[in-house]
Amino acid sequence: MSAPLLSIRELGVSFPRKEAPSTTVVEGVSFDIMPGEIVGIVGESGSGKSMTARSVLRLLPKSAELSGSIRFRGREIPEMTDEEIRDMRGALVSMVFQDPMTSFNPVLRIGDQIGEAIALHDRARRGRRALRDRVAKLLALVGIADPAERARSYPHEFSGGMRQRALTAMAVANSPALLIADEPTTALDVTVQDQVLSLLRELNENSGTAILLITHNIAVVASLCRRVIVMYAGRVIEDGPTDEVLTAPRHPYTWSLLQSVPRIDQAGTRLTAIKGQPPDPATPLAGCKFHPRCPWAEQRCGEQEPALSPIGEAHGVRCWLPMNGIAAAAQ
Amino acid sequence: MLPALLRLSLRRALLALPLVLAVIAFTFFLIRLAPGDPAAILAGEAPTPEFLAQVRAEYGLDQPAWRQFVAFLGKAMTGDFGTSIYSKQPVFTVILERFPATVLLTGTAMVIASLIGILLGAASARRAGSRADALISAASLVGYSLPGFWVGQLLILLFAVSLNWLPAGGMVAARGSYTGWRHVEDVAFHMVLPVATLAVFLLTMIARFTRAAMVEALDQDYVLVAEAKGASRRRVLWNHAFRNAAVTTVTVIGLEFGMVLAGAVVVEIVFSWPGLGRLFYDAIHRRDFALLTGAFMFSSLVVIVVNMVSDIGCAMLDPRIRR
Ligand SMILES: Nc1ncnc2c1ncn2[C@@H]1O[C@H](COP(=O)(O)OP(=O)(O)OP(=O)(O)O)[C@@H](O)[C@H]1O
Ligand SMILES: [Mg+2]
Repeated sequence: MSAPLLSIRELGVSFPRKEAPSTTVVEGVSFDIMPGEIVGIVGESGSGKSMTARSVLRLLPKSAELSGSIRFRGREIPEMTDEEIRDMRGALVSMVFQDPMTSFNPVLRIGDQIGEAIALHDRARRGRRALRDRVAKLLALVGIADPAERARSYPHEFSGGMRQRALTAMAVANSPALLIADEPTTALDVTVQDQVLSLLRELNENSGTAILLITHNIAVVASLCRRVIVMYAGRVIEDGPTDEVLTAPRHPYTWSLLQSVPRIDQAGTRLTAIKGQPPDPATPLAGCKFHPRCPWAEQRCGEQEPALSPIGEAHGVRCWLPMNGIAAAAQ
Repeated sequence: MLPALLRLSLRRALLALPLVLAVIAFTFFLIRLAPGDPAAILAGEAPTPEFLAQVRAEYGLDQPAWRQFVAFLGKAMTGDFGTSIYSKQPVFTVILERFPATVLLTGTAMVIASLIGILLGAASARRAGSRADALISAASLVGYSLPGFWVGQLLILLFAVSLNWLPAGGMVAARGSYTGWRHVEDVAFHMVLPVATLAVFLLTMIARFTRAAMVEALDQDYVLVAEAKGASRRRVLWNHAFRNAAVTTVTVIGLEFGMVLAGAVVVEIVFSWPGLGRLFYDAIHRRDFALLTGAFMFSSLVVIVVNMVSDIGCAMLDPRIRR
């Protein structure tokens, strides 16, 4: 097996507070991404998905504190100088954000903004003409008709779907080795969602770009990702091959998450939303972070936090009482 | 882009027309409401009733007010704003003679205030919440609250009287009549204090609004996206955050121009600057109604034009405004 492209170990993100212990929103997160792999991260709102993703590019809010190790091609990202990290952003690792409506600067032309992404990393300093051609090619690549003309448009002249495509074009402008997509389709309607997802898939197949895909949508994970990471309250609670995790989840949280997904083959049955709320990161909670909501919690679960431990091949779970996959599937 | 902007400019100009008319009407009638009979002033001391009537007829003062207004408007169209009662010169000529000095004063003050205001605003937005930010905010609040005549006199006392570094007033040195480069130097030397007095107020306004707009812009997603592309902090600050905040800055400059012009009256009096403001002041004292009406109208028109230009500037900066 080759070396991982990205290797995260014991990642932590916390926000210091005045006269109170700091709020930890990501803790003990570890996972690898192989070159060319598509990995999904799922989890409820507030589970720390975006903070994990933004840590990779060191784009956390100013007040955040980062701990742990993030290695990209063997280089420690937290130790890079500002200039080194800038050289990496948008060139080797790029990011697509959740909201295509607000991700473009409203007063600059789309083409100029994509061009900026290229020019910032353009060692050869190609001229304006070459830059314009490259922008048009990228827009054509993501399926925007009449690309040379549309490059002169302003963001408000683009529809949501077109903007998300343009954002994707901007993110892949320098053929990055890793693309982080933070809920790239949440703000889009279903047909446009599909288009953007196939765009990502093509990109992965044609250029071998590894993708870290953050989403709320289990169906998206099922169709695109070979591996999925489930986050809860800032922790990775399950990590494994998509087909295994989705059909035979080992963590009760993953199981209940899947239960709350509406399924076509069970039309009519009520959605079993998970009872209760995720814990507030500002108040410390002993034991497993899921135990207050877990139907199977024991005394031990409220006292000590389990580690993420291997269960089966390339599959890990953070639970004292992992479900045995077959029983769960039958429920 | 150009056709859209051109269309916008034309529309703004058309929209400004009724405003211009309203301003002219307002000025005309307002000044006629002021105490004092212009005919009595025109006729000089102790005139005979016959002479007074003659003067009234000559200047159309015996006509009903609306007639006078229509006549005035008709003449104004051709650039004839009447004759200054004091200097006996055409009002328009007198105004144009004084106008360049005021343009020099306010223009310089605005350019300097904009540059420093934007730099201060950006600097404090970048460090929002820090001590430097708090200091700049407090200082600009103070600067904003200081009355111009007071600042002006303080500066004169300090730099002209006590330190004797700079001239206390006037536009050129009284004794030397310099030419060429020496003249420019001389005028610049005389400008330092009045420009500083005038710039303080505008500068603080610009700094405060630019800061607020940039703090907001820096919090937007597109700033994060720009950083994710690998843009440097400086680039993000200017090319993205300020590029957006600039609309606010230009709007503030446009809106505050009226205040600057009003401030120029005070500053010109304090520093004996031979501009429009000084002319205003003198016209009031001499009950020179024709000149007063003309000067008032002229400065109102200048304010309208500057506002129009700032509107068009905003549209150039933000494509969403062009429509
Ligand atoms: N600037 C900040 N200061 C303090 N806490 C923050 C800050 N930004 C985010 N958080 C907290 O960090 C936690 C994780 O946020 P994150 O954005 O990573 O969640 P997420 O999993 O991406 O959720 P979503 O699905 O809603 O995007 C949340 O509880 C959030 O309230
Ligand atoms: Mg998020």
